[in-house]
Formats: sequence, C-alpha cells, structure tokens
Amino acid sequence: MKCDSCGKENANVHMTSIVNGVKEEHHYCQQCANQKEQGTGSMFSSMFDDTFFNNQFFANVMYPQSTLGNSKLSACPQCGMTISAFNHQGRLGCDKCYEAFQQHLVPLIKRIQGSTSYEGRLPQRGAEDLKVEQTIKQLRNDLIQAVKQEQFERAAQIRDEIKSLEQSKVSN
Amino acid sequence: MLHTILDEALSPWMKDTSLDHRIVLSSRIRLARNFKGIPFTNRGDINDLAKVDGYMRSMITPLQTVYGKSFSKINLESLSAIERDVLVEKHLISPNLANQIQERSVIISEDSRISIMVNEEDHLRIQSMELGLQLEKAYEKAIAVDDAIESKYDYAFSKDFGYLTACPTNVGTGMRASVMVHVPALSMTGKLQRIIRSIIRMGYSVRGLYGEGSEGLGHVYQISNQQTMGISEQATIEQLSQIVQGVVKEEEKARAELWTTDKEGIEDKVWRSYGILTHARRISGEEALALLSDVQLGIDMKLIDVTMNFHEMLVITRPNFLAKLVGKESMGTQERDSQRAQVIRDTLLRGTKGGTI
Repeated sequence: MKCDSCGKENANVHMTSIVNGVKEEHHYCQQCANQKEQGTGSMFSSMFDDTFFNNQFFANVMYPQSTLGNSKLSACPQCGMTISAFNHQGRLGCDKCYEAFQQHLVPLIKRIQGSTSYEGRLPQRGAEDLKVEQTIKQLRNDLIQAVKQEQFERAAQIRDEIKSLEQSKVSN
Repeated sequence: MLHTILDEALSPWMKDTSLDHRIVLSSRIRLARNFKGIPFTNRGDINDLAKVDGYMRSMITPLQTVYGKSFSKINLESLSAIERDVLVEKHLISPNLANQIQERSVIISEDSRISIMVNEEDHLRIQSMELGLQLEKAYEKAIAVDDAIESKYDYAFSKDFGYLTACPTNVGTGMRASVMVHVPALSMTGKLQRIIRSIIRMGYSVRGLYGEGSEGLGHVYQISNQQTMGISEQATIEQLSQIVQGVVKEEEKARAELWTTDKEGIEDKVWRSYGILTHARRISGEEALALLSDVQLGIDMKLIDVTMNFHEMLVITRPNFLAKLVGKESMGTQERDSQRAQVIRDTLLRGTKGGTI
C-alpha cells in the first residue's frame, strides 16, 4: 500500500481518526507521518520513544505537551486539583475541574472521544436552554430530510417550528 | 437477600427461560454519575464519601417505589474478602470497588438486575442487566433509577460536557453499553479475529471475558461502546445492537458451516467434552470453560440432549464462588479443581435424562 500523502513510499503508519462522528482511515509512510504529526501535534511520536512506559504514561500518550503547554490556570478553585496531578493520574478531582481546565480538556476529549459536542440526555432541572437547543438541532435534521424527500409542506411546518423555538429562546 | 446473592450461582434475572438467548448471553448498561459540588471519589475525604453514601441510603425507599422491587444496601466493609470477590465474579461490583472498602457500598435490587456501586471511581455507577440482546430494556431501567436519584439530588452536569466523570473517557453520556456473546463457531472457523478488527474499527471494543490476551476463554466476549461524546444514548444502543446482530448472523453462518462440512467432527468434540466434564475428578477453571463452551454449542445445535444453564456454569466454575459454596476462605489448587469437577458433574447429571451415565 502506498502512502496517502506522497503516494510514493510504502505506507507503514496506519491511523484511524474520528471527526464529527465520521471515521477515516489514513495510511502514511514514516516520513509523511512525522510531518503530519508536527503539524497536528498528534500522539504517536510519544508512542515510539522510550518515555512511553514511564510513570508519565498518561501525560505522554493522552495529553501531549502541545495541548498542555499553554497552561494558565494551575489549580481548580473548588478541589485544588492541578493540571500536572491530572496528567499523572488521568482522573479529575471534581465537577469544577471541567471549567478550570476547559482549554486542556477540549483537545483531549476531542482526541479520545472523536467529538466534543454533547448529544446525550439532559437532566430534569437546570438545562432548559439546552433542551430547546437540542430540539432545534433535531428539527434541523428533520428539515433536511423533509426537503430531500420533497415533502415541502412538512418542511415549511418544521421551519416555522424552528423559528418559534428560536424566538422563545431570545425572549427568555 | 445478601445470602441468596452470595450462595446462588444464578441471579433471579438469569432464570428467565422464555427467551432464546443462545449466542447473546446478556446485555448491560452502566451509567457513571457524580453529585454536584462534592469532590470525585479519588479526591474526596472521608466526609465527602460519607455524604455520598448518606444520599444513597436515603434513596432506598424512593428506588423501591419507582422500581417496584426491594433494594438492599450492602456496606462492603461488612463483607469478608471472599464475599466481595463473589460479587465481582457475578459482575455485581467491580474489582476496583472490592479493593477499597471504606464508605463503599453496593445497592442491589431484589432481582439483581440493578446494582449501584457507591463511591467507585465515580460517586455512582448505576448498572442494569438483562438476558440476551435487550439493551433498550436495560437502558430504560437504568434511566428510571437515574431519574429517581436526580429528582432528589443534583448531578454534576455541564451543558458543554454532559455528565461529568472522574475520567474524561466517560464524560458525556457516562454510558457504557455492553453485550456478552458466546461465539465458539467463529473461533473454530478462524473468522473471529477479522470480525473483532472490524468492530474495533467502528469505535467499539471487544474483549475476552475470561483470561488474558485476545483469545477469550470459553469463547465468551464482551462488546462495548467507547464513545460517550458526540453520540446519544439511543444512537449508541442502536449501533451496538446492530453490531451484535451482525455477529450473531456470522456465528450462525459459521455453525451451519461446521454442520455441513463435518457434522460428525463437531459432534465428536461436543460429546468428548461432555464425557470429560461428567467424569473428570479434577478440572481447572480454564479447561472447564473450554469444555462447557463445547457442550453449550452442542446444546444450541441440538447435537446433545442436556439441560444446562451456561450462565450458571460460568459462575459456578469461578474460584471464589466455589470456595464460598464449600464454605472455605481459601482452597489449594488441587482441592479447588476437585471441588470444581464435582460441582460440574453434579450439575450436568441433574440436567441429563435419566440422571446417570
């Protein structure tokens, strides 16, 4: 198999990436892989060097320097957790850590989960805005489907529904 | 209640015989939840842990009202090491919870379908189990429990990240959906590795339930979702169910292939395994799992007329359950192998027509 990037060398580095829930496979030669990695700050150089299995396992594999370098907030205001302790243990200290370390967590979660948008269920209390947003998102999908299937009357209905939901959001 | 859980190999929910649960043994939903404003378990002090435990003590009655069955709260400190290990072998608690016991507890429903680990890595791990491929049903029950708790206490939740968990690999839905499958024919025909690879490529994980390494002992594997962000609970359950249905189809095809290419060969394997299991005087856990898997395959393919509950056999052959059954805290390998052989003989002969060989 030839490298996806240069098309000349044999591909010996195989990666799967998940972007917005879409999985893509890439095959690169070592040289192009190294170049890609410098560009994106990906994780596999740390997998090939000797530091892989030391006690900074989490830090090296899951949280490479590029995502952690620009640390501003050093400790969580609620539990006192530090980013370096998190790198070491791989566990956060409390719910507020997610706010305190948001800028580190977003790229990390993107890497391990393939997405940073929450699509799951909502708690019964305190997430009214989010519920409306999720409904609108769902309706937009329905709208696209309706248009595809040329059900224009239904599409118009959905459009009006989205409009009124958006207005209710603004007035709130 | 605790007594029944520890001494009976079959949890009540496993006794349902109305379902055809060949190939797919069971479905499980696990939700990771934390309470708002209390440090996660690894960072909480003893007062924090006690607070979480207190919340859950107050939930016993509301849970009973919602679920319609009674719940028991078992403090892990009150159990002996072997009793805790039996709960692990029955998948009611995690090894992690069994090792750290201060202010740790498990809440189990009367039918053992629901178990809630308290102060595991997350404050709560709500677990719901069903026989066969019934992820949807397991999910509904887990959600009923989840809603009951949330109506009294606020969870740690953010609109950006969803349910907040100690490890970012669970953040979002906090849901792990798993299905246990028994796929001996896929192993025998050498098709399993390819299938495992394609499942992994879809972002799901596959691991052998028993033993180390990729080849699962007894050909029992667990398929689970990995992603908890960017996908809803329903979509995850739908995808996983489709994957499992695909695996079932492949396993059925492989069984048909075994049947047409060498029926006598597979019959020979099944009967030999049955012969050893009904006559051996000592048997290791590893060997027992392999042979029991053959017999189960023989039963599924109607090559052998024996009544056996695979779930029961899987639990019965585990070391700690055996020790508990015999009433000993620890046993030497030889004694354990001999006890195991006897229990298997007794159980299989009970399920054989005529009862004697």
